[in-house]
Amino acid sequence: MMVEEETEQEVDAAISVYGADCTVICRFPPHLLVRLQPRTANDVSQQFVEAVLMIQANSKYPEEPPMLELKDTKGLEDAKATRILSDLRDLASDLASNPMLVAICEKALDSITEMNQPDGNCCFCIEPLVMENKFTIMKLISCFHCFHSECFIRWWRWMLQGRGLDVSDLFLALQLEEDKDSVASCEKLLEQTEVNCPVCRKAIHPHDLASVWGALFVDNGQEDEIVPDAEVIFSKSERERKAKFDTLFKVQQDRGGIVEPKKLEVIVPGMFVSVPSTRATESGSGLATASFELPESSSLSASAVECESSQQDNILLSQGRQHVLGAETISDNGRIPKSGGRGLNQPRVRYGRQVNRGGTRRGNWVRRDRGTGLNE
Amino acid sequence: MSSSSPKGLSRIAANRLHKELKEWQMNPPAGFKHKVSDNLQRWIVEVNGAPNTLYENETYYLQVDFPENYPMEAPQVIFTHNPPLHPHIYSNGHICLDILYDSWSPAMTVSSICISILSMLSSSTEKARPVDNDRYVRNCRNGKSPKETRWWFHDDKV
Ligand SMILES: [Zn+2]
Ligand SMILES: [Zn+2]
Repeated sequence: MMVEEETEQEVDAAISVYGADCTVICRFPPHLLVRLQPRTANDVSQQFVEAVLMIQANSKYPEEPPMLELKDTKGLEDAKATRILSDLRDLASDLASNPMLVAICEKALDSITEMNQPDGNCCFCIEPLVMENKFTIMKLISCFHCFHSECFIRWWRWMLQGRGLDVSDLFLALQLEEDKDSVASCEKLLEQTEVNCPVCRKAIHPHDLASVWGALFVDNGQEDEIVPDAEVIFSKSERERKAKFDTLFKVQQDRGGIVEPKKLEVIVPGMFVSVPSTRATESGSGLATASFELPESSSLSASAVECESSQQDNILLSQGRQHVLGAETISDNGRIPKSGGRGLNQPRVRYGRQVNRGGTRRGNWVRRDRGTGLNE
Repeated sequence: MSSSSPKGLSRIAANRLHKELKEWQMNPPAGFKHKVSDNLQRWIVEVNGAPNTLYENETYYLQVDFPENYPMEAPQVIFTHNPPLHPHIYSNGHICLDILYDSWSPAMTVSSICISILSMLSSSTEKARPVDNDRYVRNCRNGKSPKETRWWFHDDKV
């Protein structure tokens, strides 16, 4: 009887420590579910892992350590979950015959806090999510799947396009309502678009889009430059659309300037900002700017120059990303073309940024023949 | 001006395919061989029927063509030469498999497609063409891509 009493006190202790995160299925023998969130979890945007620890003891507890399982894991690779569990089981057998419930939970919380970082690769580009100073990361709230924000946004825009939706029309419709609440706007947006997580196909939550709200529409109007998505931006229809947008944008601005590039600074929540970048030239690593075939200033278009001065700093400061902005205009024969002209030899303007891909250096200004897709 | 991007692929697509190829070389899906070529945009993949299935000891070839906007857009995947006799594989090599069309997601890879195709082969209980084979193949005569087909997916067991 003594044992049972002591054990129930242990359960009470767990309840008082973990409150609503602790669900008691049975007081004796103890059977508990404890929600494990990293200790930093009050900042939702900084939470990348989550799990539920199940502790199920039999009547011989604490002589016999309880059975331990991790359930509903999110953002944890299997290997990591397995490691946490085996550590917990070791601890449980070390503590046999002693009160151990809270000790196990604490250890589990420590481990999950330690492992609180986006794991694995971005499913779009198959590059590691966490690359030194390279990308901002976004996390979907419902499933914790993470992507490079840039990759996700490119895909989202592609999905809209495939559904015949015009991004700038949507944007204007939302802006004109002067809805300052981006989550509410995203809700409206999602009602029209219905996009699911590319990994698990769970519905995307309005908060997910809100976390990148500032960047979703960024290549509309003046900010084309930071989305290296030439195929979308420079199609004929896109040029027409952009011209239309520019006109409307001007009207908006004259009316009181609703749309400002500074929007980028409000990328919260869900936005993971990596360590602020150090300039490549200082580190002398493979990032040296010199290794990139940046265009001569003579070939920079006027808009690119403008963009460098007016927007680059904003972007760098607000997102901690290392951008090298610029544009080049080349024709298919490699000469700098005169403006205008369409057709096959149509000059192309491309934008991009510096990407260092694990050791191999690849210039950013890779020429791309505007080849036909399979369906042409 | 470097021009490491193959013709017809966006820079993003080319980077992604380089990655996939590297990953494939380190960790190829069981039962498949990538036929080495310098064409990043068209992969030829050898498929070996799994042991203890109707296709044991048989070899087939998949041709995987990547669109400019891969992986936003699905690759075109067909069997070449003599396509396996299977209720979802047409005699012109077209494959009725949802992930190649409506259910494509950029999170899928050539490797995951191959695994799905092999599992489709392995679970087959009869070696036969789809019932509408002749009509469909006649329809595709002028080189239509399977991606232009409106597929009906009514059977997720085979
Ligand atoms: Zn990515
Ligand atoms: Zn997901």
